[in-house]
Amino acid sequence: MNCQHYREMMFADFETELSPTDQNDLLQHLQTCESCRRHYDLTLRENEVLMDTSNIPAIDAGFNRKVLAQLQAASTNGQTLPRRRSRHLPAYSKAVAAAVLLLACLYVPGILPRLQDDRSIEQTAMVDHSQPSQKSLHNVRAGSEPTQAVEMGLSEQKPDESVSESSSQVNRESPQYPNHDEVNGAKNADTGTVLKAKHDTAEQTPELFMQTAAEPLAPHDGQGVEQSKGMEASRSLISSLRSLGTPVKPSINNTPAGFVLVETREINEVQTEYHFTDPNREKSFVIKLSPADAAAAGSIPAQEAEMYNDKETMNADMASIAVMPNEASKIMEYNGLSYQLQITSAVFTQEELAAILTTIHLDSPAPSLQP
Amino acid sequence: MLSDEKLALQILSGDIAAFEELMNRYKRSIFTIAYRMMGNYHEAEDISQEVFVTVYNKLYQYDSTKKFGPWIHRIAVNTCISTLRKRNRVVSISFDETYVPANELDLHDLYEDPQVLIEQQELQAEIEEALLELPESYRMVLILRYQLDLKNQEIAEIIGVSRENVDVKIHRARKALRKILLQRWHEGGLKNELPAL
Repeated sequence: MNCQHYREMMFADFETELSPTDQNDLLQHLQTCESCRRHYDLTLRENEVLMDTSNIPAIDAGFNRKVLAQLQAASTNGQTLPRRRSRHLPAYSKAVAAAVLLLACLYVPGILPRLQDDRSIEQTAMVDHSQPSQKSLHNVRAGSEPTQAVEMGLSEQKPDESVSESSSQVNRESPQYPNHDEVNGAKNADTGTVLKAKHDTAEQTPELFMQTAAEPLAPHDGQGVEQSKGMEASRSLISSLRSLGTPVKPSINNTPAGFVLVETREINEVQTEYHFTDPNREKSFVIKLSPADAAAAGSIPAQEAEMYNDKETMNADMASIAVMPNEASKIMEYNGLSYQLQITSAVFTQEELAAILTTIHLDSPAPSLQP
Repeated sequence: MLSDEKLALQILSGDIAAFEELMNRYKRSIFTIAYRMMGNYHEAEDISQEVFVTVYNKLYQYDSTKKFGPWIHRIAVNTCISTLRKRNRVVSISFDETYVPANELDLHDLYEDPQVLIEQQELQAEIEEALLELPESYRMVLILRYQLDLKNQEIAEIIGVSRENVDVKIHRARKALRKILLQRWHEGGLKNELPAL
């Protein structure tokens, strides 16, 4: 072995990485080679420096507090905090379930036509145009009722077409917050115009429309057990669609001039945070909109409302440790429901935030993000 | 004492005290990596804070069936390297900042031969400067190996390569460090001249 080989051996950990034979060879070579001995001394010195941590300064005593403050600031600005992956079904799952049920009704012969026989369902379909949240349910009922469509002046429309329209509409519309124009249409127009509007929508999606329209409906002559199954499926469908009736969230209007909405964060199905900032992104505030009583305001059960409150527990813990931003809150009415507006900011004083709240009013539709 | 992995699960349940406990366990090693990579206190502190903020925000991605240490050290390594690359600069260390608190000075140093002491200090400074000239990947494995006293297998888990690859990287890093030192001494005509490696 030459000197080069021994010098490379020196980089290995003498006791753990070199075999006893190599250790002996190296030590014997060092006794005879002055140059390698100098390399070996340098290697030992390098080892000392590489392992020396004595000149690393102590960490600032307030290190933990600084990190927590950063996390609190990020939380205030709407950035995501760690959270377990949701164990709950996503918000659109109800719509997906309803769509599947609806398709089942369309493709399983003998189910849908028997809606006609369910007088109670027919009667329910004729009422309550004032609630936008009932739009999906209302449209499907009307569309699935061929005889009803004829009575409403749409005699040129074939019964199977009206069924197809309603199915395509349910498949595409938002499960929680329907489009504002459609909602107003449902509120302000009579049933006939609503049905016509849905017909126009179906024409814009010919593939879907043709696919469902081409599917022949089962003859309307089922009896006995089959009829009973059809009734049960229909009730299931109606029940699923009823669950779509979440109130439309109002928008926040008349915010201070120059401030734009930069982020909308859905905390859960009923609580939303709107992040506003000035063009220079130097000043910002966050408005959290939530029903004054989550259980009463929406169609969610009280148990779910408690679940939403649980999600905020960690934020509360963070707030108790780090610096709290200024905040103000106010209860406002919209569409017969009470909403709490909570405004928070690290730059505005509490008085300024309260003044901002006095100018804000709730309106529809829900705001969209500014470019 | 709760394991790191259990603490991580508690943090996901909203336990901030668990997060503080994890910070207490790892802030020194994270700061050491950052300090040796960045070369100054303030940047090292900023990066250490950034690492823990990232850990908190990305904790839901952590697989609690695996060890927590390699996961957090990997975040630290990536944060340092990405910061260095973003700034696209050569790190230079100011030895004014590399202070040693007075109470950490060994008293026996004062009684050694001043000439020997100065030479040792010069050699240490030269080695530290040479370390900062190493490519960041070499510097990182040396920091993990010698400053954090990690096994090569642990380093492999952190940087995501095989243990054999770590063996090779450390060997090459040591050779590169020696080459820089020898080059400096040859260029400066200093006393510590050694034959070329």
